[in-house]
Amino acid sequence: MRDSRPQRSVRVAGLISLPGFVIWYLLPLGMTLWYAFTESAFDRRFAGLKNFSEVVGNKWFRLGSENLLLMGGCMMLAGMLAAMLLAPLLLRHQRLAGIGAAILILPLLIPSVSVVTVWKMLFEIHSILRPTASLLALMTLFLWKTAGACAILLYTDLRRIPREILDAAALDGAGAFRQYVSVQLPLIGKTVVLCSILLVMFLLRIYKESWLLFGDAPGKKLYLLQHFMNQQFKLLRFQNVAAAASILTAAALALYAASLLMLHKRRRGL
Amino acid sequence: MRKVTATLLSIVLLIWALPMAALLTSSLIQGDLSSLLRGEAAPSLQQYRTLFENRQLLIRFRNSAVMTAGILALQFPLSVLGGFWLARRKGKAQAIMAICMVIAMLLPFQSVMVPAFRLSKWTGLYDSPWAVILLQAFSPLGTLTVWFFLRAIPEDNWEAALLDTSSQLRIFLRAILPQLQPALAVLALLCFAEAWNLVEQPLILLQDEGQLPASVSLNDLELNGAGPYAGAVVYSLPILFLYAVVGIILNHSQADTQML
Repeated sequence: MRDSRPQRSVRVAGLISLPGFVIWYLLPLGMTLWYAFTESAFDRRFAGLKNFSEVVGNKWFRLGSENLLLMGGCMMLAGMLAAMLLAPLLLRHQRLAGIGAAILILPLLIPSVSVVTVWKMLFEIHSILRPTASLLALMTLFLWKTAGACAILLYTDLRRIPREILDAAALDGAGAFRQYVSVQLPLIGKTVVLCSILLVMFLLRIYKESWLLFGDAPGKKLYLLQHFMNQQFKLLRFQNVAAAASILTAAALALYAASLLMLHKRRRGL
Repeated sequence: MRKVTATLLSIVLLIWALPMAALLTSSLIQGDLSSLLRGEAAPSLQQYRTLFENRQLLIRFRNSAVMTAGILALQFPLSVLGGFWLARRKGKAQAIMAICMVIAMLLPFQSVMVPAFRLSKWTGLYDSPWAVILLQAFSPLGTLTVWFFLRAIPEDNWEAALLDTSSQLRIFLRAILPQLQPALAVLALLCFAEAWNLVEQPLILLQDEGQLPASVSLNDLELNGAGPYAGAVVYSLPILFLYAVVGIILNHSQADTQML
């Protein structure tokens, strides 16, 4: 079946659709890496690790990455936990799942600028929390936005597990909790990993909400790596932005690779 | 036990819906939510009236609409073609490209911020909506969505259609695309939601504040003296509408509603 004609139309489809992606995304990714190793925008000499050492020595870079790691870790754990608690509830009450899906997924789709308006309002009412309010605001916002969608993903996968497997586990004396932890969760391991990858992705995009809520200077507690990069960008220190972006990219890739490795091991284990 | 968990779930869902309910309520009253809790606020449509008289804000809405329309017009066909290419040619190039796209989708905008900025300067698109439109239209999310759905279509469907015609593209358009209705609905929803919610890209690629979309500047105080709640509600409406439409399409097609 593989003569040249059918393949040609496929090739044309690729030729039309791909150049844009290559020019606007793939090339820039490479350019970021290249900038990180050059002296300046005008002096294209190889600079070795100069930009990196400058960035790593910068205290704002350190603050930003520490905050991102710390806050990110907390948010991811909280998000995952919330999704894992919500999913079995949905599974148990599938009649509520239809309306539940709408309520849980819409936060992810609604424009950040609308969402942020609500959060400003809610946290202005509870001004008692003022000193820690900003941190709490961002964390609850992240949870609200992402945990629901992850719960729905887990729920749809849980639904595919055949009833018999659970009945067998119940015959062996496993209670609902034990069934969930020892049978259901391992069976949907793939989706759990997918959810954690999505959570990292959403986490790296929380800067959007943070910027809309607090602007360029959110205070020390909420200063993220992305704030540092935007600040350096405004100062036209592109080499520093590129170096920071390379570090962020490498860290993100390492995280994703680790999750995929976990997935791979899991598949072999089963 | 069943009752307890049902109550628990209902409470959680109510809490989850609270922010949206609060937003809607405060857009329909004079004053803010705390004054409503004290019983001092009266229901009114004043906010909406001011919103539709605020020319500056309406221009931002128009900017958003123009940008989103441009992005969708480009991204939708490109995603369909790109997904078709990824799914139908099974070589090394496709595997590599798929990995690159996944990586590009997972990374934050800051990873490509500087090159994107310089590319827009270099092509002369800087400070025009086209810079944002092109950047977002080529984002890999759409292509990957189509690819994801296409992979679920069994090889037999292609082979069967191949007996009638020899063009893969024709098979794709006539036999496969109709099966893809739910995928296209999801694709439209995702692309729209992303394009309607751009923040970082316009900030970097546009200089003139009059060109910014409402997704960046809805909250600017000088724009929005009357209270931003009505604006926030109106700006969310297209998403709600599209979500409802996509939900109906998914329900109609017998396909597994696994995505939404």
